[in-house]
Amino acid sequence: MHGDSLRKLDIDQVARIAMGATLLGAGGGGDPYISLLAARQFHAQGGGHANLIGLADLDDDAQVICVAGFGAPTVEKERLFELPHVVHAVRTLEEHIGRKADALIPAEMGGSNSLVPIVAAAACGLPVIDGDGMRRAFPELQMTSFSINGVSASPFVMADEHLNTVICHSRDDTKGEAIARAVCMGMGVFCILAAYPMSGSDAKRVAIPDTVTLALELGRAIENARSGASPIESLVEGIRANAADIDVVRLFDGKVADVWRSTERGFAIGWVDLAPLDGASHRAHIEFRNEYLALTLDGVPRALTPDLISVVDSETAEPIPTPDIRYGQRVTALGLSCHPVFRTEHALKVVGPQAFRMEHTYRPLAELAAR
Amino acid sequence: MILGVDVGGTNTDAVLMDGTTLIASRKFPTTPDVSDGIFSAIESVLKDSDIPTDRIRCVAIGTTHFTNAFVAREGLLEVGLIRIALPASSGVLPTSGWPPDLAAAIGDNMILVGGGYHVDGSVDSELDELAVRDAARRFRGNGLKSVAISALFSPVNDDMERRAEDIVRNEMPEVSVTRSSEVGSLGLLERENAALMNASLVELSSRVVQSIRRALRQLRIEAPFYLSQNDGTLMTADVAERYPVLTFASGPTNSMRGAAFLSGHTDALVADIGGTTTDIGMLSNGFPRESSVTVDIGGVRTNFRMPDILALGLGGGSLVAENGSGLTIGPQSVGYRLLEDALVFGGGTLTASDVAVAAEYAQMGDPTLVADLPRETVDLAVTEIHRMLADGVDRMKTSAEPVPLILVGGGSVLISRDIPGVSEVIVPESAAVANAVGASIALAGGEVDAVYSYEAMGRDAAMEAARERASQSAVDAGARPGTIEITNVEEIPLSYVPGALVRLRVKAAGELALSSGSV
Repeated sequence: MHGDSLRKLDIDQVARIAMGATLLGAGGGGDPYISLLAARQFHAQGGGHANLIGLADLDDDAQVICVAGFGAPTVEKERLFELPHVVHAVRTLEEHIGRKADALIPAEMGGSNSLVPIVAAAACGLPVIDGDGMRRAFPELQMTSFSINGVSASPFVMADEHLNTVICHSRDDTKGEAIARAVCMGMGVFCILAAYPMSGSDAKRVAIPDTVTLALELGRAIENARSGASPIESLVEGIRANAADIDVVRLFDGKVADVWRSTERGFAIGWVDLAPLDGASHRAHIEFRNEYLALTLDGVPRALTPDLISVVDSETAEPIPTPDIRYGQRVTALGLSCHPVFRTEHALKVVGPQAFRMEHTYRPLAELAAR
Repeated sequence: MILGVDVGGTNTDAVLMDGTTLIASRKFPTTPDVSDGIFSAIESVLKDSDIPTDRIRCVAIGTTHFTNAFVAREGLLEVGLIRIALPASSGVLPTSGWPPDLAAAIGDNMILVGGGYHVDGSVDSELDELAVRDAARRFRGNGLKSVAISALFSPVNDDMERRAEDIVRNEMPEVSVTRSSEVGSLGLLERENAALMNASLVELSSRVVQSIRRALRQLRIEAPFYLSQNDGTLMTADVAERYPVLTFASGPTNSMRGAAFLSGHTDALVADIGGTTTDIGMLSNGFPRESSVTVDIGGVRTNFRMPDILALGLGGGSLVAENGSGLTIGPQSVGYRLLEDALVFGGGTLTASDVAVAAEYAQMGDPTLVADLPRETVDLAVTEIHRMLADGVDRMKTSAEPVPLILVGGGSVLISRDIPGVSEVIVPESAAVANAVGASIALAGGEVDAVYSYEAMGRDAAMEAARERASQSAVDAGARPGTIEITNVEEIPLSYVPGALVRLRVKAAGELALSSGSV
């Protein structure tokens, strides 16, 4: 590893990452506000800044560990944040695999988990990798580019604030998810996960690069959009300027005409109907399952998971997560293409519409838009 | 008969209501000791109506006084906080995210102790009673008069908060205690913020409530008095004295409830047009639609349920300014100087009120003073005023269907034309005192916000349990059993968790249990 390849993340940058990660959260992943306060407190109490390291600058034989919060956002908002058990989870996995970590990697650059590894890295004195396993948020352990590309989540460690600790070796990551979910219940429905131990060369092969920087730039774009005359256009320009490989489609402008919510196997499911502002009869219908997963316009699919659907406030360009979407809001639904790793036949079985028990057949965003 | 009073930042209004009839109303300037203004307003209403005070069965007061005091950092107490949550939560300490000067105003007596519950109400950690006692002794040593207690998942199970209160009272018999579960819902930080705000205001609220009591005694009014709370229901003066934070959003709620009452419409848009701003909200079933987003008060994050209000920079005092391509109205306003600065009152500033008078649909001041205004300017300005309101109305509507629009507030004279998307524009009589009317018609209310397991209890049993708790809390707030209705039920599934855990928010409201008859 090369010292000059590290980039310091100051607290303002962490705040921008939180905002950008809310957009990339596609409606899910939890509110990063708590982790942002934790980052501020750690820094105010004399803790150092986290350093960002590019995937390319990682040594091939470096040891990489992924760290994330796991459980219900509602519980996270009660338990807030506690650093020692985050560090404990990382140290326990190091001990178990018999190797010290050289860098931490985020699982998902969407929602609250985008900041957890940044605070953890600062506390552990390790750099955080500029990359992740989703470039969005997904609800389950196996829904990562790591897993899809053959790097196993096992062995993984789960720990709570009492330092109750579980080390798990699972047959595969789908089974690992089922076990982790049960353990998480026993730990109070929220815990810290240290998982996906991998080498630097594996990380280069399976991680999606430059996503922390992307979240940072998207956060800046939202900040700039708010003060501009046409916030949505400004945001769309901002996304295009920072991510040439992401297709951006302005799917629908309107207001929320109806919302329905329910629960199914521990997930928040439901849908949102959007109606145009001019009273025309078109309707956009968005299904969500923690994240926004499918948008149809008058019954015709326009965006499908794993492509991202982000709903933003039409006036402020600020992203609106699924728990906050409500009647009467004026919103714009944006489609952002997912990373190509999720578009293979194999990956779509894990993160495509059928993985969420929807009947749509996945077609890429750009193709649906062109129809 | 009921006396309704609204204590705003500028004016104190009083109304006397006999059933559904408005007998008399009066406006007075708000005074530094709010009870002086209340005294004057009530005294003149009684004089106007010539009603003997023994016919008054209840006094209902709505006020933004405590909100304003908190935002202005006036009269705040230093607070001792005990957070029962260790080992959880230590990475985000109390007052995280507060403006530094406000955090400094309530001091740094913030102590974390072991204890707390899980999401299902089972014990996460046993309460560290010794640590609570030591905290109380330290607070006593520091001369604190007010203590706030928060605990992990206390909305689900408040036993530890109650036990900690007992321990604190044992050490500090004179202290005032706010438990977070009494003033907030799920979300430890937001609930704790509400408890801290409340604890910082209890001395002020005690002073205000006592002085209102004295004023009422001087007026020989024996009837009980109540304060409006955030959801448009009332709480007794005793409760209000302990929980001033529960009045924080009552202003807009009262204005909308009053508009509903005065117009006879329960589902409509309401625009409260004042001197500087227009607040637009949506009435549904007689109550304001609530905002679900977090609300910052004085820079502090809370999860109070506030009416969903859109504020426009349009009012009677809004400045009319011509520019190259056209003309703008507001957001600058002459505000309370309208009666000196507006053209029709002999001033030198062109305001929205002046163009309404020049267009010959509003009557105030001296119309000859605006007779020379160019016709084109007047037309443009009138069109712009209506466009601004129409745009705001459209933003607050939930469907394309036309709905009635109720105009209240002194600035309602600015509107003369039809508004697109609106079925009819209603300007009720006495629209200027809608807030006080809203206070006078309020019900006693209660609510519950807790997590239930549908897997363990079944949905029906859980729903029933929540309804019963909400009804009981309405009775505790002064409602008469038998008149209580469930006014709102929200089911919020907890995501990422099996076990069908659902957060239920249930509200109940009922008529005040007055000595006789109904309200």
